[in-house]
Amino acid sequence: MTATESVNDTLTASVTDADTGTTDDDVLIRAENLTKHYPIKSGVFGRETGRVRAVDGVSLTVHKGETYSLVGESGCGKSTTGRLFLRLEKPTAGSVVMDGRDITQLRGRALRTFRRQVQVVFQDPFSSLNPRMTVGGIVEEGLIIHEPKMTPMARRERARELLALTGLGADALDRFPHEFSGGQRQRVGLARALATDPKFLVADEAVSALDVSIQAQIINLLQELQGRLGIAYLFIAHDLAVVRHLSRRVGVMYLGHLVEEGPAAAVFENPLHPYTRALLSAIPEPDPDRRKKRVILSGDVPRADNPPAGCRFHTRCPECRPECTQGTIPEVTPEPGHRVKCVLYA
Amino acid sequence: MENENRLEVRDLSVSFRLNDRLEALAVDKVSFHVGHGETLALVGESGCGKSVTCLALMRLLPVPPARIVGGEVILSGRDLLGLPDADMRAVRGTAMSMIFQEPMTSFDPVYTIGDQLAEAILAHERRADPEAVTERVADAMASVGLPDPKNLMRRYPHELSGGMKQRAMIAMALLGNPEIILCDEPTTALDVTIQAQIMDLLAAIREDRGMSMLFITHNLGLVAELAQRAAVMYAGRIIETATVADLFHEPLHPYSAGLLASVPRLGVTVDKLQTIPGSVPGLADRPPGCKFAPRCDYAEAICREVDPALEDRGGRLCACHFPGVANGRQNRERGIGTGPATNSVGTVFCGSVLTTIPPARQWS
Repeated sequence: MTATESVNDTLTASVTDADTGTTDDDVLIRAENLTKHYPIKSGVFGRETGRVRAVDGVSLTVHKGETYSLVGESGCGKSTTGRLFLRLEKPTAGSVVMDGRDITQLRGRALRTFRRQVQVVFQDPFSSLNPRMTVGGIVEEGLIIHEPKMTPMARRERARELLALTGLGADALDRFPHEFSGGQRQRVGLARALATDPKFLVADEAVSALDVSIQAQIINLLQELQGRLGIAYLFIAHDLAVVRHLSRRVGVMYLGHLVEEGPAAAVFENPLHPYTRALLSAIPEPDPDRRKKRVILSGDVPRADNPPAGCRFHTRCPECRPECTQGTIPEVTPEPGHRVKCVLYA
Repeated sequence: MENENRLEVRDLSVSFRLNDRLEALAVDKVSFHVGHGETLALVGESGCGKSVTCLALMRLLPVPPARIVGGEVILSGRDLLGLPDADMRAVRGTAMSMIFQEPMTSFDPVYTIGDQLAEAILAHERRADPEAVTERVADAMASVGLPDPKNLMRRYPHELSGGMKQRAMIAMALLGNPEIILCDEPTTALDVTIQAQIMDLLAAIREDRGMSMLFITHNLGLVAELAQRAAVMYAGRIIETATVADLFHEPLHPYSAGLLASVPRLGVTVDKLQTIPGSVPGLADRPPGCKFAPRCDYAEAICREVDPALEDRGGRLCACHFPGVANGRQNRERGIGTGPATNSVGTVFCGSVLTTIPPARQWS
């Protein structure tokens, strides 16, 4: 059984025919065996001397209107996966299917149509807005491209609506990004992303750069917008408490592999992969009465240009077995919708 | 009195020159103390003055634009602010050392790790025997869990991972056997699993050496984990000081309560996070009266006019005209008696998010 199938047959109701690969009603976007390798070139002739395996065979599905979170430490490939979904990168192998079409093959008009349906909010609210453009200009830019027939008046009105939707007043239109605080800038980024009425929004560490009190505002706003507009989020983050709060499903990545995936409650309450367990136990909890038993991992994440054979986590795994060090690690589904790539459950 | 505390800071004020005419207080009459073997956490959001306070203690702020306006920093009975520069240099690294936030940028890329650690010894002991210095550096590196120190000493900073660099940084800070160690967000730039390693190491060092620690962070989880007491800063002031247990169970200041309530927690499921409306005021536009009043749900006329002093409230300090108001009102609304205010998330705000964040107020 392939990974995608195993997710599908557990994802209840509207699954139609997982075997033939037809998409069911609920699926918004599906990645299969998504792989991205970056070549390392050296010497005067730029010969390829190695490959950074940023994303290696990731299969995941995001359903309509849900929040799917990708978690993992820096360098695990979660942002690259997000960029592949947005087609900001072309995959080395694998496919991303939305509305029955493989978006990695799209060109011309079809690609433009796709681009308006997927949008992104970046981590750094300071560098992701053009300092020379007014907030109105920033929000309207997507409309100029995707709605060329819209009159300037109508565009401005739409920009005003979008800013109101994200909690900013109309007086923001003629101001420049530097006049705003980090949280407000993130609202501008959200308004810009919502301008083309997307179905799918990739939020790449969208709240990580914000202070706690501001972070809560943006998280609430994201939830509120999802409730109103029914957008699906691919939420890429390293803060697990935020992920738990926001997501319906969670995928855990380690060195380019998706090592565990499942409903948020299952992954957090019953983590299966030793890496997920270590990651969860490493979170400092804001409660002086709760002392957790900690799994402290030794060493660092290995380099992605020379990842360990077998299970990529075996070099740091407290439960490493001989069979972990080589070959392909099977992916199993010990409970409905909850799959894990680990020999412990095989 | 003075012997009871390792470090005592009284009314420390630091100002920054913003332009030719304007000078603003980044740290405003901050007072706190750190006992022997105690860990005090200095908590706050960016721009609250916690890092500036830390740098001022070490006298590492660039003057100008910074200026220490007044106050005392007493380390083991000696006022550091009055010391001549040469004496202050002797204090740094031996009596008090510091671990910085960015392990990536705090090392000089053109010297080996070994050279840079040795410098920490040679700066104080010019005539130290080179072999003995090497030995001491290797020992220090081994004591923070760095493998194969002799080999690692010959490496350059870029050859080490973030976690290893932070360990090397800690080794460097420990070389002079300081009485107190100042940690300025030492794990913020690290991944959680590496953060757990470093926190474990810091706790072990503190136990082994009975060292005092001033731990600066914005992460409330780390505060709960490592510190005995905490001082919460907002807009250049300390607004509340309490033991960690008191602070987390019953924050007196509405800002502390709001901060604690706005953090999502594992194991506590809520529909909506509580928020603090608005954002931290900039250095030049801090309001008169209580600095938090414009964002405070409980602010009344007096809050906007009279700046509350940091006063004793039953064994702990709080700068608020209505200490505990956030707890009291939340509890009344939920119709319960006492209890951790931090769990009462999402009760204050109802309706849509859009109504909880009035944009007009932020720009007026």
